[in-house]
Amino acid sequence: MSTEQNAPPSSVMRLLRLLSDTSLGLTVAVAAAAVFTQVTHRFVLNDSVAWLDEFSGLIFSWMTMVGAIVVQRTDSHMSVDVFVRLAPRSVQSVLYLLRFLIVGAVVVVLFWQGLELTMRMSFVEYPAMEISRGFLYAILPVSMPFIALYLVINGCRAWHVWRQGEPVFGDFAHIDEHQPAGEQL
Amino acid sequence: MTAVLLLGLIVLILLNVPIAFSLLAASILYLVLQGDVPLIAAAQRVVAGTDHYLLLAIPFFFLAAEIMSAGGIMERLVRFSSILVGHVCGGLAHMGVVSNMLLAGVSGSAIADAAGLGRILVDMMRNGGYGRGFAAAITGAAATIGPVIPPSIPFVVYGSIAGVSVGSLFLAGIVPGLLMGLFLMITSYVISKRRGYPLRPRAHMREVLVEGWRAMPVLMLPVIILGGILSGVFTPTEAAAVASAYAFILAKFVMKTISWLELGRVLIRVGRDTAKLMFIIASGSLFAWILAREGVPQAVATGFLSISREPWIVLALINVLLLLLGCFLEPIVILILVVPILAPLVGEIGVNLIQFGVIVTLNLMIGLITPPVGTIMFIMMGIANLRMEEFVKEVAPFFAALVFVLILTTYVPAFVLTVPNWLMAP
Repeated sequence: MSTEQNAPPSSVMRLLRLLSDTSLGLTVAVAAAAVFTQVTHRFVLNDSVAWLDEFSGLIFSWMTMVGAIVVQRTDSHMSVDVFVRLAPRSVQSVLYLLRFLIVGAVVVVLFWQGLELTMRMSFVEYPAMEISRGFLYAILPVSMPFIALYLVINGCRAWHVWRQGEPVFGDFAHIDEHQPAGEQL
Repeated sequence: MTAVLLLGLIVLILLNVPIAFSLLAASILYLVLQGDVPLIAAAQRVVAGTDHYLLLAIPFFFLAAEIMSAGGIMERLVRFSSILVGHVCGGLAHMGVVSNMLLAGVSGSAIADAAGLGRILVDMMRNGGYGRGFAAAITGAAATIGPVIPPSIPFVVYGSIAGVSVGSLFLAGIVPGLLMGLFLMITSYVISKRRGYPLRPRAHMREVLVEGWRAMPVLMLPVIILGGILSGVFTPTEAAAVASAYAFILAKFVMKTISWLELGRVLIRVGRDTAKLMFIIASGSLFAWILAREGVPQAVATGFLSISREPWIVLALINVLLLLLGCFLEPIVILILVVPILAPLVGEIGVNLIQFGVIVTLNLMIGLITPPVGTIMFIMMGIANLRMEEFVKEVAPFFAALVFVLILTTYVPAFVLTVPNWLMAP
């Protein structure tokens, strides 16, 4: 394991980690509370709260994309690595670069198109909550820059690993998995 | 153009591009080359893929299981199972199967079951004189029961894609889940007898009652979920939220086994696990939309029906295809890609979509214990420190038992449909 990988993260990175973990935990808790309140309200008062369904759906979309940032941080999005691990080290570095560029291109497309979509939809409102649907579509332009940031950080780590003569398709999940997620809370 | 889309996806996945990004990249490439659909459609479909109320059940089922697990519930289930079946020949293996069946009523994920119970069960079996490979194989095979006995995350995802009742799917999974347990126990019995694994004394009735009482709060969870859905009080999503609230109250205020700090960690783990699935589902919704636009489901149906119009042959071909795909891809990916393509074909040959949901899920669960990428296989290899060939050799008889249940489920619809027809009749 390289020195760089073991180096403690900077305070900015720790703050980002704290923010993303806390936001993710909160989305799960708030969504659960919203749906549970809906059930209780309907069961006890025989009346459903229309905006709670819209609200929990909105929170769920944010949970997905904030979670995607957290998963990107540990480079643990589901993938098939059986074949690339069989490749020689020199080929692995090319494959890693290719993967980096493909993911980067997708992130850029989703950011720009998501931004345009958010602006277009900002005038449309949720029927019950009466807030802009831009809050839903904003999940892409907000999450993609963070995913790009962690893509670059993981790319730098892979570069250091490769320079030290190790296979580039390593398991980066351990980078902060050895500290239980959410230990800051 | 369809060839570019599908080949592009396969190449990207093989190049280790994360599956969600592979789906997105292949779809974006298609949109760029096609030129008649603006790229903004990609962003719109991805966001729409996350905005799905039914799928909100996924984090809540994860949450209920995680809270129960963090609250020390696994040990209670294992003790109760041990007292129930520990005295039979191969008792500790049966204990593993029964523990997984009981946990299946709490958790909806096979991988979570294998990771949660795996170490406890393998250690107990090894200390009890069982072989390391056998312990890992039976524990891994038993974990596949999790998503077949309700609640089940694959059933929620399948229900959302195929547009069928998740409540009916939950009920349809009960008998096949019990059959999986039964045939795994028969196989364990035969192997244990042949290898002369040690016997354990039978527990007294008082012990059964005490441990049954201690496990009761957990055993109530599936009753709450299924009872709520069947009585019409909850939707599946609401049932999952109520299950989470029940687990929270139980672990925090009744059993007092979980701290606020641990709860925070659980919430983050749940969010992360949900995102891993949901990001693929969201990306897959764009891909599935393009497949539908290209008429791929109809082309596949025509291709299958040109081989044979006999339902049993078509189902056999589908099972082979799913088992092969299960060897290489994660269950969620297969669900996203294959269900929209195969659903019209299945309707064409007159197979009930509820039964098909159970068939697909069983295939995908079997794929989790097969090489080269079976996730449960890797979890168990890690826990028991086994090589792949050792695990494959030991798991082969259990694989055969599960395939036998798959055949029963495929060709005897009554095993699947009797319970939902009985309880959800209009």
